[in-house]
Amino acid sequence: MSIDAPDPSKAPATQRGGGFAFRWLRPASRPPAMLEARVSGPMGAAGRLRDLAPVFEAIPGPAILIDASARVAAANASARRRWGLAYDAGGAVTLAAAAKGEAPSPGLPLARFLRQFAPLEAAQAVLRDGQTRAVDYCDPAPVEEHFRCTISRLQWAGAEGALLVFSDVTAQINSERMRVEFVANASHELRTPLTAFTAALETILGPAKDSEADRNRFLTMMSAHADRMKRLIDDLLSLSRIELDEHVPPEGQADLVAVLNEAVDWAAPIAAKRGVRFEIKAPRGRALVVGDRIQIGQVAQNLIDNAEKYSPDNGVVEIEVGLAEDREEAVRRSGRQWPEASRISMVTPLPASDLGYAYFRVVDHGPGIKRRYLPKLGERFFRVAREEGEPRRGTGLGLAIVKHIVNRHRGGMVVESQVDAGSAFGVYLERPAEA
Amino acid sequence: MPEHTVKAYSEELEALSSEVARMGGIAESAFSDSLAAVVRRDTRLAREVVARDEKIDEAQREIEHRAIRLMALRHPYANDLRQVLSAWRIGIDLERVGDLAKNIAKRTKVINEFDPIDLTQSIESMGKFASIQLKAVLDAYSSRDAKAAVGVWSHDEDIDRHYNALFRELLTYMMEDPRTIGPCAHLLFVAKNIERIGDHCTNIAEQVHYLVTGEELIRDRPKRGDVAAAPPAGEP
Ligand SMILES: Nc1ncnc2c1ncn2[C@@H]1O[C@H](COP(=O)(O)OP(=O)(O)O)[C@@H](O)[C@H]1O
Ligand SMILES: [Mg+2]
Repeated sequence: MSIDAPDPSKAPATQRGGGFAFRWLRPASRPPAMLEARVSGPMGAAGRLRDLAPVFEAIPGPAILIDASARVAAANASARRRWGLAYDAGGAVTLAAAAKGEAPSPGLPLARFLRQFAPLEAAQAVLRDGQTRAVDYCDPAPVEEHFRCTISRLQWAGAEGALLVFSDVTAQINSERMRVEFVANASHELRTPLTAFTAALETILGPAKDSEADRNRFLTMMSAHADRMKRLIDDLLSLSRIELDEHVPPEGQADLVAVLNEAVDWAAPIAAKRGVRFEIKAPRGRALVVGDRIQIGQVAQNLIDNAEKYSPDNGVVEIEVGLAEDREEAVRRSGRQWPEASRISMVTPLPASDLGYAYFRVVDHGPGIKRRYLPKLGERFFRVAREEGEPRRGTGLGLAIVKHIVNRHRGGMVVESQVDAGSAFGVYLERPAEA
Repeated sequence: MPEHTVKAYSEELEALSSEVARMGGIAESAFSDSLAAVVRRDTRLAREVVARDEKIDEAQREIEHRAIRLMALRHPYANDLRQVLSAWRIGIDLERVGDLAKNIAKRTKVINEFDPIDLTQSIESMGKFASIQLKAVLDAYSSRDAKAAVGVWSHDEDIDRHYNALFRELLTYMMEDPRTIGPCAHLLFVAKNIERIGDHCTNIAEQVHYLVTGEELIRDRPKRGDVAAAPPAGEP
């Protein structure tokens, strides 16, 4: 700033706040700043406010208190987490990530971080006429989320403003949508194997009635179709479940080295029948990421399954696990190793400047994937074989499952492939903050 | 300068910034609603997006107005000047994003008059990349994060790749079944518009970088992908 007001962080808090209000403040139970400003009077008012601050903090969804000019007076814990807000030394709400040296303002404008136009408009209207309003809106990226925001006028100790309370309705909307999609997909995809199954059955009951050999042949076919239907249903259910809570960030930690070793142990016996081998290159020690261990295992298993399936007999599947300082390095090491290959990002996280990543990469030396098909990977039921009219093997849901899991983890996924040389699928996930 | 003047000045700068953020929000929802309208064949939503464009134009005029007033009355320099200039330029890019979203929405109405073409997943995933870019660059503006801006700037090629693939797919469709030429041509321009929204995101990223560091990002970012195969930039 060329012109600057005195740096608020250097002024002692008591001086800036005026009065005694700050003396009993603790970061965990800071009362709304707007209210606090009014409490220069009797001790009783301060006492009541102190009692109310934890209530505001504990509202389960994000809650924000704005003043009459739509500037943020207070934000509860959930709101601070969601929008990366923080209280500065003087008790004002700021964007935690904002660079220093910006003009100290009379309060952070709501529009600076909320942006969604429906709740902003509604907030203005409430400030104007005092009528309580509720609006629904959708946050489309990176993971679609739906919110209902209820806004009501608030008057307290002579000050005027509004209270915005947000509730996450993504789960309801998703479950409705999933139900519709599941029914549509299941009925569409099951029809083909079911028709084949019924045809075989009718043949056994009719023309093949008297021939033991024919009967056995058709029974084997029926069993294959039944298997296929079961796999379809399993994969569809698994996909629906993952999509249902895709908007809920995962908790827990997983060690990629352990997860990949386990997945290889699972796949090795079947692979050995065709002489396919796995080679793992991993760092000594662990490669920890934030995430759901079981789901990350599913990702590894699906990618390893595919690599095995598309490897030639006696081929080698190479697996690499490693660490990366930031997103650029993670993208490079997990998906930019073959200069001649075509490549595509299947999932890209929002850029975060201070995160480290761990990645793994599964490489096969199979037929590769034509460039024109790369952007279709991860679409449900997409299979190159189906496009090219070959007989089917697999459900075409594996990569869709993988993609949704990676998206839920706010991770990234990169594919590179070269026809007749092979394919490499790389996944990178956030590392936990250093303990 | 007396305290109250300084305060008013910094408040004006702050108000300019939040007007840009607010405008970004409107453009963001216009774009995502226009995509939803195409994908879900929702003509009503499309109409809403078209009607809302007026708000975006209004916001741009407001930003321009504030920027001019700040420059005339306050003679900003250094960081302050960059704040004013970048707000102005970002406003121009956002107005274009709004126009492109409106254009996508307008095509929805026409596309819905034809039988559905099974390309919605491709349009959806291309659109998803662009909306992540838009969100990321607006976040970078709000938090004045130059590194995040560089992240957006260097990721534009993802959208280009999706565009090129979708372009080929649409061509195949049209050649196989000439009856689909009408709707496919409209989808092609939807894809083109998404790609151009991606370009505006990189412009905005350049502005954010300039705002924070005072330095320009090098202009000629390597643009891969087959330029020859892409349709002309103009509208039909
Ligand atoms: N490693 C690979 N090499 C070649 N093609 C692959 C590979 N992995 C996936 N694919 C292609 O992507 C399609 C989708 O994969 P996926 O979703 O796992 O379904 P499925 O394995 O059931 O066919 C596959 O059918 C195949 O065409
Ligand atoms: Mg598979």
